[in-house]
Amino acid sequence: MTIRKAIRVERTPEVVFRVFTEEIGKWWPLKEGFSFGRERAKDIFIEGRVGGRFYERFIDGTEFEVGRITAFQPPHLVAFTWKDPSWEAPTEVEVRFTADGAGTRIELEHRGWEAGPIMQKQGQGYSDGWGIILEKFGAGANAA
Amino acid sequence: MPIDATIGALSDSTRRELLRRLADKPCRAGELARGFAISRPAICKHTRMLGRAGLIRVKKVGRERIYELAPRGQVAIQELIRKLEEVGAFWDGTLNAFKRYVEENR
Repeated sequence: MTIRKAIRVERTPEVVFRVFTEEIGKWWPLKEGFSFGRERAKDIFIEGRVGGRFYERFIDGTEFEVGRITAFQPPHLVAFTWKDPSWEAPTEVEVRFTADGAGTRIELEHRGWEAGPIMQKQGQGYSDGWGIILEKFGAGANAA
Repeated sequence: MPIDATIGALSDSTRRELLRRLADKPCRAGELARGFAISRPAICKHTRMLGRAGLIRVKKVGRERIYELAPRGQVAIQELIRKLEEVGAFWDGTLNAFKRYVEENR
């Protein structure tokens, strides 16, 4: 299972890739609630190399690592792991940039839900429902 | 987010399809097993697994066996749908913000 999103941007893949990765702190809507630090959020970074960090910096200087870069192929592909603090396991995000006329088509895939990452540790809901379900399926839940 | 994608958290496509059918409406055994490429006993094995997992349950009505989604199955599916919709909306928001920024500033 995969969450898929796509958007077209009226700039070349070279520009789009560079702004997406190097200038993420300028465009990511941190102040509109798209952050882990909420009101403490200050900046966000993608380190442009495999193994680099995708992280958020808070106003007090502390950092939260969202994930690690798993692929970095300018201007075509950047992929990274993604783990919300409340999830039990990381997921994977892949962003592809393809020339589309004079612009770029961006395709984002967010995968890895099969491992049950969004079962919450503390709570009700999936830990009582989905968690048990996945547990009972055991190895079968990891195939395909 | 279609129900199909949600149920994808169960990696087996046959079980996903069984759940998808039961999320629509309760089914008789024969109706539930219809249209699969695998044998009826194989389907029974999958429904037993779903039953043991607490996702679906069987009612006997006369001589018929009616399969339906169990409450735990409904809760789990709704919770998962809600969570995945949140993640999808998150990426819509970030990608739209990106497009606005690039097209205004580059």
